[in-house]
Amino acid sequence: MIDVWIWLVVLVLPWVAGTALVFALDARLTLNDGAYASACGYVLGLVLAATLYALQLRFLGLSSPHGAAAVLVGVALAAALVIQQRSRPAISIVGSHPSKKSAWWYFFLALVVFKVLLLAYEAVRQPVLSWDAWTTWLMRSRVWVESGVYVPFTDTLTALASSGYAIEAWRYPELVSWLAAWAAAWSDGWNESHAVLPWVGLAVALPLGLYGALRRAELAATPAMVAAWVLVSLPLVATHVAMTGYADLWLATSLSLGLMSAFHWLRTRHHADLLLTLLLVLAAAAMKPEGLVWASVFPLAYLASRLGSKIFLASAAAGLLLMLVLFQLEGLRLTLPVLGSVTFGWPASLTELGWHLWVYDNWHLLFWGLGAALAVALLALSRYDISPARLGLLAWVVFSLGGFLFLFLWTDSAEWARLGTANNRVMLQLVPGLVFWLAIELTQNPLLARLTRPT
Amino acid sequence: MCAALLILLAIWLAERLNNTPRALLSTDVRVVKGGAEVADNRLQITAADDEGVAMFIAPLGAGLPAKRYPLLRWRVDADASAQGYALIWVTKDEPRALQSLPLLPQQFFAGQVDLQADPRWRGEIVGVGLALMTVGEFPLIIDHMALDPSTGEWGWQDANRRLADNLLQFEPWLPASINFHRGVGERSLSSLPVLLAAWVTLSVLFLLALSHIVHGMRWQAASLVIALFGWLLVDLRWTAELLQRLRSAPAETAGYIGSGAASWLEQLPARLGAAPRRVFLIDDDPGGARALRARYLLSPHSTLLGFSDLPDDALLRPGDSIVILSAPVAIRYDSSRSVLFSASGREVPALLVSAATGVGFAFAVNASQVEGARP
Repeated sequence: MIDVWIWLVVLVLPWVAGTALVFALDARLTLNDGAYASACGYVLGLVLAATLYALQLRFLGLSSPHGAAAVLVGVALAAALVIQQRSRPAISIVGSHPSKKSAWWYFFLALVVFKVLLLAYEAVRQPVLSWDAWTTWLMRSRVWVESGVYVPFTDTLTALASSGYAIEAWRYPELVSWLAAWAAAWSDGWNESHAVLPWVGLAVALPLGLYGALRRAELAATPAMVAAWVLVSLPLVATHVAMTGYADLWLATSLSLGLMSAFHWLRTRHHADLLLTLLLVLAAAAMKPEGLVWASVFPLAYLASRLGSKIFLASAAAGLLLMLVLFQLEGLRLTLPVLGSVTFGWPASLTELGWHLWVYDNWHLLFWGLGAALAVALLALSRYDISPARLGLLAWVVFSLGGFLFLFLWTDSAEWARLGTANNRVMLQLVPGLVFWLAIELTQNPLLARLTRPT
Repeated sequence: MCAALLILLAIWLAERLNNTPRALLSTDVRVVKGGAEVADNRLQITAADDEGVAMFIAPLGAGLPAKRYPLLRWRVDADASAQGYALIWVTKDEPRALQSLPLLPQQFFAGQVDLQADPRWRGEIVGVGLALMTVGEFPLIIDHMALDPSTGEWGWQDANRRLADNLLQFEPWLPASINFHRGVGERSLSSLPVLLAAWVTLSVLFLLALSHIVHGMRWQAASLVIALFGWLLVDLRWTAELLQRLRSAPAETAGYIGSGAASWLEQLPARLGAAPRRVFLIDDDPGGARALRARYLLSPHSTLLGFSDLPDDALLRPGDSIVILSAPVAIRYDSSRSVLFSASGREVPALLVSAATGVGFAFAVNASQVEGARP
């Protein structure tokens, strides 16, 4: 059972503080941007709360989370003051994209709300069962909260020598564990229903952020809502909310909101969007090592948007050619930094990856649509001009998928693809961004627009 | 009607294309008797049980139609030997009955059996394996075990059944991970996403063609409705399946250690002491799911894994605890002397703190005696 005040202090306080911070950072945001701003605010607010709690426990030895909460209240008040002192009212009901909502919009909203409520209920009701949650992320949170002190986690040999604590994934960053620790620290003892609350909030923030970002990108309300429903309908997304405790959903949300902010920055060149992008992508990189890999795609995508579609097409073709060459280099082994051992040649995991994306029901129809949309997008790119923002987004999609393929075709991770244990949850990290791109592509691609013009 | 026909056509096409052998020796193989390891479609039998029997069975998910897969083949080392061989299988209709077909040595070494004529090879086969009696020498290696499809036709009735299975059957979590939803059946190209994609594609092409005949027809809107309706259908089915999976999740996921063990381990931290201490966890699978789950439940104590016997004296310190879930070696406890004996007879002074029948024992290492024993 969860007390209302726990929900308020664990979720609503950081959410409000984060959202106020986002509004304070970006003077152009209106109430119509509330969905997008509050999704970004949720991620930044919770990350701020977790960081503050980590600092006070680690350096001041204070196990009660009240100090971190007080700072959050201060941040919210300061942000509200900044908003209020602006020369023009920032929060106005006259937005940049008002539109009348259709019956379909309400229908898909109902589907989203139904799914989110269902998953949130299951997340709170279930004990923590997902493997990574109780072996790594919540294992650390539980020790910190129950012992009331910060202890580092190491490998077993070091722990034996130092009276420390050991877990297998001790090298993984601590941020996600601190998110759960912040939520659980408000209870007496360890309470799993409280510890998973940050994931419950993600079930709301993720579709909210996608919807809001698509509305900012000038999409009509109904297709934006359909995209939000598509996202929450995906089996892996639903699984990671209901069987809560994996870090991938946090990484996916932070990374995709960073991508959406980057897209808006490329459209508007407003510094606030760039700052938001940096904060969100940095948060993603601090959550899991893969976050760092995906963060490195952003400068490449930006470069592609600057160099233009012809150079991007040429580099995509070169990448494809390189891939074909790598298929032929049977048995060539290299050791690369970060990626470790890489073995080129015809990858045994290629067919398996195809089954996971297109045949098994991990993603419903997403990759059928994505494959077709990619083909159309690349075709349109050779015939039509495209804005730098859309080109940057397309480059992010192509480079990220290329990175994913490299990882699961030739590195040691290929074995995980064969077993099916990791490839889908790593793909989950990219999926909200892919849905964002797909929604924009399907509604703004000139080739599709020509095809769907009424006959 | 058109949609149903299109889907059935897609199933038929997919199954025709998917007419490939099904490899059996994945990591899901269950070793029923004895010991074995499996990797890369290769099973290495390493031990028999007390009665000299080694038996394994490869699960086939929701099942393979017996009629369509009548040929079983495998490969075995020529120098392998045993005194008896049997093929075993389980059907979906009789999941608790183990069907058995004794094999002659020449059949076993030939590595191929045609089960088409066996009346018990019927319905959906959900598991296939081998049983070996009194194996001569270990390890005995079996590899490339597979079921081959018949060359016969795959009819509309099969397509109908496949469609019904796709829509109405629910699958449990896969043992390997919650991050993988195979859908109904074992590696079938006629999965729901493929069927839906085929249906949407064919419908859109059909509507596009029709729009050239019927002027003013809004084929784009109709196509969108079809795609979203299909997606909604598949999502409703998935949501129902997810709810069913979540109901059984506590007993089916890797962390399941039984309610008795979980309850004992949850109460144990308080009995071991208020202040966090080091706990050496001894288990016959020292890095397995049970040990890892125990570590989580024993928080905030620092549980150290990797031990299948008592830790060395050099590792033990006053205040440490030892929890034994199950030991592969004979660890004994003399309650009159409060001493634990390792497999080699080494003594560790310890007080029994808690015991749960069939679950485990917890000891506090006797501080004064350990300190006294050290130079």
